[in-house]
Amino acid sequence: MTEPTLDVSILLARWAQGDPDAATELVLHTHPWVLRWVRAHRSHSFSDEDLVQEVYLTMFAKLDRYSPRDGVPFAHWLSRLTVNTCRDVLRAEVRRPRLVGLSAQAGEWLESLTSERDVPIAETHAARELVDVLLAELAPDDRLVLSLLDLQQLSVAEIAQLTGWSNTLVKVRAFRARRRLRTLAERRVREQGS
Amino acid sequence: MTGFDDRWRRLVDAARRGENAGSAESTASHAGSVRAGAESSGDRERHAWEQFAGPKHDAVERGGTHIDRARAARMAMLARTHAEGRARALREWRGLAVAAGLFLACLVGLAWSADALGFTPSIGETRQDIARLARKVPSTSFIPQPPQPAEFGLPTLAEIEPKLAAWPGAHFLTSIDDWFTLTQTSAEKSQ
Repeated sequence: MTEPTLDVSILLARWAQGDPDAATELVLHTHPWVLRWVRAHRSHSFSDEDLVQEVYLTMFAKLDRYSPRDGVPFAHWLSRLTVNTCRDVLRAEVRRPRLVGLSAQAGEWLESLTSERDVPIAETHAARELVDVLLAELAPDDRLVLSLLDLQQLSVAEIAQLTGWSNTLVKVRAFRARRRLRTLAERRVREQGS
Repeated sequence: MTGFDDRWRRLVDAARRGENAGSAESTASHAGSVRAGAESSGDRERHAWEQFAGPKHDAVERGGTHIDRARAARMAMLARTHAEGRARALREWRGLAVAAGLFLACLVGLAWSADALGFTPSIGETRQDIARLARKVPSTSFIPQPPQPAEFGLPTLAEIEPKLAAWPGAHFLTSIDDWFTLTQTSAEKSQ
């Protein structure tokens, strides 16, 4: 990940003076991070570009409300805005139908998830495939919390800061999301068996 | 933690394996700088980008994450146009709200002044009008009152009634009236 040499305060001051290049610079520097946060949501109804564009529409609409004096770094502000914008957009997302075909290796991972079978350790691509398929069947909030907690390995406090939820709510949502995930996985196994 | 949670974690670890994992280094460098002393706001911003703004693992690598300047400019221009449009719409809404407030204030002022100057319509009259309209009875309020005898200098009926008995022709008129009454009664009987 390239480290951005971004002086946000200068860019914001230029933006406030109506400098169009400042907006371009801001997009250029923040795009990789925004895109990664967008991808963490694993949307299947919206393209990453659409979501990124939505984030920038929101960001520029609310940019005058950001004040560096609040002690909140711009990165935190933008991360939270990205997460919340994606959540709002994805709330209306229709969940993917359950009958998405899995590869044979992903099927083995699925069986190992629901029973104490040996895990095909070498098949990391199949593991990723299964994770994507299972997460896609969850509601956006459930998907987000599991994606951030388990895949991105953020702490509960970091997720709470990003989403605006309380720590307890994050834990409860994660617990319920895993329970739903388990139900989904077991149903899939039954469907595969029948 | 249940057995499923363990197995889910194992699956997620496998899914994450092999992906870019530069978080340990950045965490170490950040901790080192914090130990070294106070951070400037620029340092804090930089570390925020390192630590927070990017997910630690890009689980779905679908091409590069950087965009060229032209696309960034297009995206920025679109976003700016949208932001300006929103701000304009907000101003227009404010203007509309002010206009609506002024209109309401004028209405209230008119009602108040009509009440103060006595132009308020009577509730009783209004109720009668509504009742008349409900019964579909035509309004007669536009028909003027008939002229009174006093307006022409003539005596009223109440004034001349006591003098009628003393009038010479009164006896003759009374006998004609009696004859009409008898004729009518005998005709009814014959039927």
